[in-house]
Amino acid sequence: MKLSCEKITVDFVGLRALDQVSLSVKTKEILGLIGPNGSGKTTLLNTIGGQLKPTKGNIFKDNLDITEFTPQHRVKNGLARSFQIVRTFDSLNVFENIKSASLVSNMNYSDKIKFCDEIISYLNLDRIKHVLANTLNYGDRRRVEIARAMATDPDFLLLDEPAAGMNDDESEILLTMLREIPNKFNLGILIIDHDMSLIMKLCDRLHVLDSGKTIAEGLVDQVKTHPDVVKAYLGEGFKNENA
Amino acid sequence: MKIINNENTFSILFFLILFIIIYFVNFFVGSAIFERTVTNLFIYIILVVGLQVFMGNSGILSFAHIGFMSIGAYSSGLLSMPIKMKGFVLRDLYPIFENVAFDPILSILIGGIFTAIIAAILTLPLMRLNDAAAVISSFALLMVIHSIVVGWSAVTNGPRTFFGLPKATTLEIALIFSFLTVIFAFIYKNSKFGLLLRASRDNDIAAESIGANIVYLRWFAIIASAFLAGIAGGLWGHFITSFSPKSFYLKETFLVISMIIIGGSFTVTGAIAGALLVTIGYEFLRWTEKVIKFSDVITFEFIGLTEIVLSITIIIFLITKPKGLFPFKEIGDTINKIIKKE
Ligand SMILES: Nc1ncnc2c1ncn2[C@@H]1O[C@H](COP(=O)(O)OP(=O)(O)O)[C@@H](O)[C@H]1O
Ligand SMILES: [Mg+2]
Repeated sequence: MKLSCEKITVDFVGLRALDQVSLSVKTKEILGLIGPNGSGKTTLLNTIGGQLKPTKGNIFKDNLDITEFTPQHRVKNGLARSFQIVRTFDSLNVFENIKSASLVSNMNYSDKIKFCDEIISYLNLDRIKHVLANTLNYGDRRRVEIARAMATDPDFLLLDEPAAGMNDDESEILLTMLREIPNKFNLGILIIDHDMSLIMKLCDRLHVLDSGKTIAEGLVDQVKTHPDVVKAYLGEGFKNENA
Repeated sequence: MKIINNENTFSILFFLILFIIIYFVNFFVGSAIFERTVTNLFIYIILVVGLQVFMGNSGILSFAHIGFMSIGAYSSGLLSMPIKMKGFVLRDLYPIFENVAFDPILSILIGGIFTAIIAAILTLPLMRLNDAAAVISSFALLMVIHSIVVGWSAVTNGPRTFFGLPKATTLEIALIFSFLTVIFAFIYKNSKFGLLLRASRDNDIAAESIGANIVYLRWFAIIASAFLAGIAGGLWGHFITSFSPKSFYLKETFLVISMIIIGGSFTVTGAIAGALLVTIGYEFLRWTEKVIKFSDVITFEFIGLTEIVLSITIIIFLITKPKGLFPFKEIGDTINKIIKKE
């Protein structure tokens, strides 16, 4: 299976956030979407998830044009996501957070519950299964969001900075978990993260954005040494140091 | 969908026992005034738990609930009123209603269904609204329903008293309907629809991203909620037997809202606790008012004490316990925990 964006352009008032961006992810593949802050990564994920309509361009799941689909409709077609700003269901416990997402899948009820439990133990959430989400720390909430997205039984998982706010140990553990997900759950992952070491170790391919434009794409080793990428990242590092 | 888990069963059993205890306390007290209060309490539980079904699970405050109650009261009364009373109370009644006089309980059920249908038609466009817009539009809906009830003299007797209903609601009937409402509320809350609606209450964008259709989830909840309000209205109408549009307006709206805020709208336990505590408080204050009035301690007329105390209580709760006495956990969750520990 394949998820692809073709020439996506997104205009906000007075700002072109994305300019003719095309990319695709296949089943069992991990594609990293990287770029400096404000380069349009989240905006692209929002157009794929259906939270935002692109000004121009199309999104395809295999040969199906899903550009006009609502978010609910996209989940039913195998797309699931997590959010950069955590959006857990805070008055529900961890299990309910995940179970609520499994309700859209086509499994029968007892398989759904089994599947939820499988995801819960895979992401090490057993210990906090019955804890209310609003009492969790940041790292746990992020894993709950990933588990919730996985519970919809998706073909493609879209993750927006899943390691943000985690300490080094936590992100290392997350990395190992994510690495195995495509094969174990038979899906493709599109992941955004600013932690370069995590992204480099995790991804099969990278797609680099800068100011809404694609500046490089390809295998990790090729992209890493690409002059524009080096420049974009040095530029950002420079800015951050002065901030 | 497995909806009967331990926690739910414990909650439902707890309230069954509580209701039976209240019933027997009334039996031993044996006073007509007390029985009246207890019957009213059970009707209020239907009303507040019905409000919880929508408001608690969707997180949207609704002012329209008492409006739905009035639809249930008037429509069931119209069906059950004895034929000879009809000519007396409703002089301009449409001929089709002139010769109907259904069994009161059947009328109450039809009244509930009718209320649900009206709610389904009126509320669908409102279900997209969030926050202040949703609250204000529900308030507008209350005013619309009230105006129609006042204006449609042919079936409501207009602003004048609507009377002559058979007195059919007994304590036992109110108790049974009340208990069925509680069972429904727990089952609904833990059903697929209830869970997804609660998810959307916590975060609408995330809920859509897992496939929740928020408009329809809310719509279903408000239809169920209006059905229960309609039933409560019908039961109340056949208990009090005469009422007017004034009986279903701001004061009553404020009363149910205060019950659900004090108890906690997220839980069924909270809704019941709110109805219970406010009823007890209300009766106590009414009694105090009377005592003050007859004791000659204060020479001027002392009215409105109840409203003032209720308002202050709500303000205190909103500041100190905005999610009410039972913010997240049902009584059954607590019982389950205690039992597991032992
Ligand atoms: N809803 C919006 N309205 C206007 N501008 C926006 C909106 N969302 C994002 N932007 C702008 O679009 C650009 C890309 O943002 P974003 O996609 O969040 O970047 P990234 O995720 O790569 O850090 C930024 O300049 C941001 O300020
Ligand atoms: Mg971002």
